Amino acid sequence: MKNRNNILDELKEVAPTLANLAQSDAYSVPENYFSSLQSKVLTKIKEEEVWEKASDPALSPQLQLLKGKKHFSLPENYFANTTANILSTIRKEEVTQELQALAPQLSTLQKHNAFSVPQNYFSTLPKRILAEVSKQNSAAAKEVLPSFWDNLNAQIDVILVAIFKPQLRVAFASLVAVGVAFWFLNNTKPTEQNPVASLNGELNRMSTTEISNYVAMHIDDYDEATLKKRAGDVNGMSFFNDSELNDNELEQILQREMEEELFLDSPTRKAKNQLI
Amino acid sequence: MSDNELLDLFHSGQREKAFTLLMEKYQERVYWHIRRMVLTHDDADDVLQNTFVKVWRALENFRAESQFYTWLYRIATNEALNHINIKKKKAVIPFEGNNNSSDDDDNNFGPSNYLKSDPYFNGDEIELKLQQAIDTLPDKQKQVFLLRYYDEMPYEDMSEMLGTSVGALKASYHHAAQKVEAFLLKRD
Repeated sequence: MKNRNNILDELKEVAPTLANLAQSDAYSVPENYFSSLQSKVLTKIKEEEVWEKASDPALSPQLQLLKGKKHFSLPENYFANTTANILSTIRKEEVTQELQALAPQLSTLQKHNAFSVPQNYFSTLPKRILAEVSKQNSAAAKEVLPSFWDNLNAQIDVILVAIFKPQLRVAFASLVAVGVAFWFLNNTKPTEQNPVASLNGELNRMSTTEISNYVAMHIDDYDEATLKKRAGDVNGMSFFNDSELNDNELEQILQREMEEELFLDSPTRKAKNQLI
Repeated sequence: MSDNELLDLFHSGQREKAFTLLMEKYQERVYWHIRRMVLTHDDADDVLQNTFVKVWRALENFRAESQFYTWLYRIATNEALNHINIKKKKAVIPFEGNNNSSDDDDNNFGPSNYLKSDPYFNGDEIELKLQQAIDTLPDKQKQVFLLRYYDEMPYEDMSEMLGTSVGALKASYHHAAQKVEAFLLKRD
């Protein structure tokens, strides 16, 4: 107490205002803090003792094994895919919001996949595709020109069976075949020495299905009126008028055209090119 | 491996290995894209095989000026559209003047009939209705709708793939979504 008075006297001399302030403790502790402190400290000490024992390999080999190991893991490429995942989520939200505004009823439908595939379909697919490629390569390696025209005409015939009159079918098929030949000549670089060989090469690389698809996709280019007009254009003659010819005559003209076109190196062809 | 690494592998001579890895990476995404266009598994299988056979042939000359998957999707889309058109043209039209698949219930060639007979379709009535609605869309709108609705593809990627402006694609999608909505409401 004496010591305290000395300090207070000293303070009064140095800082009288401060010394006159009522001394009250501005800090407090939680209720029962001090009464429970002892048991808290003891618990802590026990825990540390247990951990020390666990760390002793002789006493707890299993825990020692776990020590230092990472107990949590992440999916593979988690961080590498994070950006993509976030972008995907943002995109999903954008699409959803857009759809809600455009088609509220549609946006309420669950997007579950109602389609399925046979078992092991995807696991066997690459092998099947490579086998197909190999098969097609083997087929393409063979000389196909003699049978190519037959195949092409057969395919065209199937496609056109319900569209053209029977009399025009042969003529049409022939014209399309010539058209395909023209297309190749105009879109490839034939060697000057042997354009037919070059054409053969191009045709060999295409499957009949591809050619069939091409013809099917451009079928509207060859309606009857176009067919007749084209026959006239190929001739370079303006007098070709469908009212003046019957189907048989038209067929004969187209057949003759096809035969002439096939002789690509013939003098007739060269002369015709000059006219066109 | 990234696409570019796989393409480098292909050009380095390990063609089959690189091609197999590319297929494994993309086959399912491309398959589902095709499947939603052609609907039945058998048709999707045909188109998918044709697609990858074409990719194999053209891969030698593919230069990464566009993204590989964009290029792949474009081939797949064209193949699917070719397939659909050929199938339509080969189909015998039951009676003249009504080839509109929206009258699907009266049309033997509408999606509800061949989906019902597809063992690999297990959708309920609502799903069937949705497929019918999508089938009524013109090809271009259908394509855009499928890419946006199912694949959630950004318009920018779609633009690169289809060679169409972003604005036009948005318009197509809006029209398509509204048509599908109208179909669903009409039938409900």
